[in-house]
Parts: sequence; structure tokens; C-alpha cells
Amino acid sequence: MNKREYLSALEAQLKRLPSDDVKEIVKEFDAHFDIASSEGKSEEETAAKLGSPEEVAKYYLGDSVPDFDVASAGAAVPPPFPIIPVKTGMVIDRGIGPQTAAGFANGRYAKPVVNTPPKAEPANVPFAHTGAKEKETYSEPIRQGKKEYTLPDYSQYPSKGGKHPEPAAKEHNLAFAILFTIFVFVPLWIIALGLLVLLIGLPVVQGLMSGVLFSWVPGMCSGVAGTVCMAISLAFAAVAFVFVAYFAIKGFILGTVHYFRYIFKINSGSKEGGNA
Amino acid sequence: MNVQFKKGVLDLCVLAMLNDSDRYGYELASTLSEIIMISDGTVYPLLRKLASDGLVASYLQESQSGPPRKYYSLTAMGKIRLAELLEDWNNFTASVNKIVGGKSV
Repeated sequence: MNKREYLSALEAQLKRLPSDDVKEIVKEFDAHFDIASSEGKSEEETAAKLGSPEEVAKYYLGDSVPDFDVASAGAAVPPPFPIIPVKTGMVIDRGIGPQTAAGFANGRYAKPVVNTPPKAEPANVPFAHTGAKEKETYSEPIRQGKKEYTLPDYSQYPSKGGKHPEPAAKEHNLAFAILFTIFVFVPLWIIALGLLVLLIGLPVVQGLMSGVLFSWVPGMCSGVAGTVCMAISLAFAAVAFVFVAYFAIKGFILGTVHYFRYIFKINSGSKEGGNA
Repeated sequence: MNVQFKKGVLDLCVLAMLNDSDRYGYELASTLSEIIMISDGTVYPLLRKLASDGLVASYLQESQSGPPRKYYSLTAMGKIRLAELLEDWNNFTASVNKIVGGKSV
């Protein structure tokens, strides 16, 4: 596979991502080929070292989410590293290339164990299966020359800062937001408004009622006490009103602003990252 | 090298390399693929993920030959993350070495 084939294959595989992101990624791989060729490597060689476009794309799209589930696997001790069941995925262990051999020869790195590649790959490649996985999930893959392993889907790990972009879902977000607005937010707003009215209205009504009762129903209380009761109730109502109004209005405005910002962001298509 | 080891330390390796100096993608990819034997194409998605986490930043810089190169640098947050990962790594390897250190089969 030469550079042009590789890049167009990669671009095709990435079509679920926003076009700006795809351009950026392809540009980076383009540059990779250019630098490699300036070092005298052939395009085919570089492409082989990169791993297949499908696998690279899978890694970008983050949809090679493995069915790694400690609970269902019944593993009592979690592994020290995030361990992902091996399926089809990124190709690693490409073997030792010429540059690597040079690196080891001049003593820069410790010499690894080099396995001679087997003549013929057996049909049942260990860990490249899809079924019955629990048992093999934590066992160590046996390295026999070239083999396909899956690298972890990094996006699933919790990160300390920032959010993972979820480009794949972007085109569905707007429709989702509109439906959500109609069926969830509008009713919620109505309910919230009703509660607000109730919350402020109740003490007011209670205050007036108690005032009326104490003042006018004979034998319950004197006129003065009734007026005092009414004043206290109304004061409570006023305090409640101030509190509720402050938080409710603030919350309402902030929430609405955030909400519309979110929708607007979806509309304009979020642009994250970007090179300087 | 055990594939599961690689997965665990790839982030750490990239962050550590960027802590020494800013590097461009090719440099990272070729060095890492040489030392821990991953395919070159693995490094770019990882860099993208690290960038979206705010651990690395990228900028373009002119090169003597060819078009400008996209360099990656470690952010302040990346430095913190690197320190955490390094501590984890050192603790882990020290613990494991208590058990397996100096043994051979």
C-alpha cells in the first residue's frame, strides 16, 4: 500500500468524524510519510509500520470498546494494568525492522527476545477469537512473530481533566436535543414554575387566612393577636419569596443560558484542539 | 514484550519523552515503536487523546526540510499527570521487583 492509498483508506475509515478533524489527522499521517521518505524509507515500508488504516481508524473512532468486565469475568483480583481482551485491532509486534536492529546493535536498548516467525500461521490464532473470552482475558498472549493485538481504547479511562470528544454521536445530537427540549425540558419548566407559584403562594394564603380567622372568628383570639399572627405569616412569606425568587431565577437563567449554549455548540459543530 | 505491559506504559512513555523536550509525531512514533515495539500508527491516536485531555499541546514549527512540523509539548496538567504515573510506575516496579527481582529461569 503506498502513501496515497493509505491516506485515502484512512480518510474513508474516518468519515464518521467531523471533516476538520479528519483533515488534521490525514495531514499528520501525510507528514509521517514525508518524513519517513526523507529518511529513505519506502512508502510501503512506512505503511506497514503504521498498521492498517482500518485499525488506526478504529482506534481514533474509539469503537473497539472491548467487553472487559471484571464482575462478569469473576476475577477476584484486578490486574495491575488495564487489560483489554485481545481481538482484532491495532497491529503491534511488527517484528524487528532494520532501524530497530541498528538501535539494538549499537547498544542503545536492551536486546529483546526475538522470536523467529512461524512458517505458517495456525488457523486458530490464540486470542483473536470473539467467543468464550472470560478465561483467556487475563492470560498472557503468546507471542509468535506477527500477531494482531488490540490496544486499549484510551477514551474509556477516566481522565483528570477535559472531556473526551464524542465525534461519532455529533450528528444525532441536534435531533436529540430538540426532542429532549419538547418532551422533557418544557414540561419540567412548567412544573418548576407551578412549584414556584405554590411555594410563594402558600405562605401568603396561609398568612391571610390566619389573619382573617384570628381577627374575625369570635372566641378564637383577639383582634390584636390575629393581626400579629398575620404579620408573622406574611413576613415568612416575604422571606420565602426572596429566597425562592433569588435561587429560582438565578438557576433558571443560568440553566437556560447553558442549555442554549449547548444547543448552539451542537449547531455550529464543536471545534476542539486545532493546531496553532 | 508482553502486550499488556505496553498498554499500561504507553501514556507514561509519551509524557516522559515530551517532558525532555518538545517532539513531533514522527519522532515519538519511531522512537516508541523501536523501543516498545508498537506500530507507528498507534501513537497518533494516543497523542490526540492526550491533547483532548489537555495533557499535551501542539504547535507548528518550520523545519529545515519540507513543510512545518506539528510539535507536541507537555502542558502543566501533563506534568502533573506524568508525576502521578511515574510514582505509580516506580511503586509498582519496586513491588514487583521485591518478588521477581534477580530471578531468572
